[in-house]
Amino acid sequence: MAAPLEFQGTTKSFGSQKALDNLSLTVERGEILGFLGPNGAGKTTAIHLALGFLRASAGGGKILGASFGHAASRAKVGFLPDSPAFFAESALSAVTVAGQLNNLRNPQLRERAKALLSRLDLSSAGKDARRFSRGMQQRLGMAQALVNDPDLLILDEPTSALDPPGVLEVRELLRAARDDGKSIFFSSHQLSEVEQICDRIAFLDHGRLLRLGSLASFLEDSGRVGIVIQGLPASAEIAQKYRQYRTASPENVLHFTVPVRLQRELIEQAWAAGGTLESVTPLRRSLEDLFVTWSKEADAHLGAPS
Amino acid sequence: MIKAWLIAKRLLWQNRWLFLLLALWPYIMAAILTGGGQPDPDDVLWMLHQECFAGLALVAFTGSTLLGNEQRSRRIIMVLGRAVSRPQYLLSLLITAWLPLLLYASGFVVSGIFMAQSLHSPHGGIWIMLSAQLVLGIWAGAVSIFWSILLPQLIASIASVALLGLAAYLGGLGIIGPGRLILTLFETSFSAGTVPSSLSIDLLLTLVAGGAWFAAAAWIFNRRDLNLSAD
Repeated sequence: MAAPLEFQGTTKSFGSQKALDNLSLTVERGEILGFLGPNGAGKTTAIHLALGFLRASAGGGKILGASFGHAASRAKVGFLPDSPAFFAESALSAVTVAGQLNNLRNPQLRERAKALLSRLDLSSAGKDARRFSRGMQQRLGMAQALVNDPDLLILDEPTSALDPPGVLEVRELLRAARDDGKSIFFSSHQLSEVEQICDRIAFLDHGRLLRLGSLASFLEDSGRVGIVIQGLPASAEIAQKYRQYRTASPENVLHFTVPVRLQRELIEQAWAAGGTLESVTPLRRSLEDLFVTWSKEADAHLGAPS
Repeated sequence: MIKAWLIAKRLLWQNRWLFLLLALWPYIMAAILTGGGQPDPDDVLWMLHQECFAGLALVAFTGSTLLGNEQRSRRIIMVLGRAVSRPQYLLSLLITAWLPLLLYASGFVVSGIFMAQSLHSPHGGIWIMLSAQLVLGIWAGAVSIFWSILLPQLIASIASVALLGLAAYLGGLGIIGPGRLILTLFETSFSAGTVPSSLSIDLLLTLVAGGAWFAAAAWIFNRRDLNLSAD
């Protein structure tokens, strides 16, 4: 069975500037793929290409088995843009029309719309969706994205304007959708959010895909340990040998933060030198650390953004 | 068609006050003309022709601004992110541009008949003007939507109205279709008793021309990026 979303060497240029450079990426069935990157990385451009708002300069892709831009295939896609905009209508009407535009018909549609609004705490929202707060608009956009029971959800910054209860609710909705076998492709700057729900992440910068893999593997790959040795002075040989890993510490106590691969070596040498091992604490870098590191690497290799 | 209507309904509601205000225009002008007693027939005719032009300009202006407004507000991606094709979307814009003309033209007919009766004059010409105006409205709407895909709103509006003028000029040279229909519209008196023999063919040709402009607009729009500020 074809992947729900597939970029096949997709390139998009605006004049001489490449907003997306030869992106090849597949969202598998039943996974949540987080799409990360700094502002201007090309995330929204990629989403707009997948939905047919933009035409690829080269390459292309498939969405639910059809080429990008094929209107009928979007009937089973749920889309939430970064800044949802609405007509002058009630929340119920906005969700209902989103379903109708995706070929759904009453009366089941109305019931489903009401249930979604209730779940997203919008049952008593006012009559004009344009006047809702940004958080309410984002929840309403989420209800619109879910009303057609989509096979693929494409979400651009889905939790950026939500309060903590709203974030929790959306997180639960996304997990439930994944458990139902739906695929979710979402871009976000809320790294804690990505860390909690994504199966894989794709990191994009300067229009290029720089990292793709499971989040766990990235966090483990960058794992470090904190080691505290007692009974050795700062002048000890081991302190000199591993000085680049030393952190500030009181007298006769040595604190190190070393990559996992050096852990055993350092502990053995500390014992051999007569030190006492006080503690070994596995440290994991956060996604935030990775994000910053990757962005810096990208700037160094690809040139800082203009 | 249902999807186009669902979108158009919302666009119309969005601009309801403007459209309702414009729909009052023929009544206001009739009230001004007849307020001081029996109006002069030439003034009435001039007024009706001016209203016809205003009706077409209304369609041209609305048609040339809708797409830009929807792109700027980014509402367009809430619509085209669903199972809506671009031609369906353009059709919704055409409906939105044209339907207010129906409301406006109803005021034109009612106020026109009222003024003709106040002159104790027949009013058969008003129906000719109505049919020409409504069909030309479809054509003008398609033309303005075509330009709105290629040009900024203001320039698209100017281009659309200029094309109305060009069509009238070509009609004067004897070229059939929208041009001759515009001439018919502006040369018909409200008291006209006979329908011009060329009216049916010109109405038909104008509809065909409108369809051609719309097809060209849909073809181009299908191949272009939406004008959105990208990340």
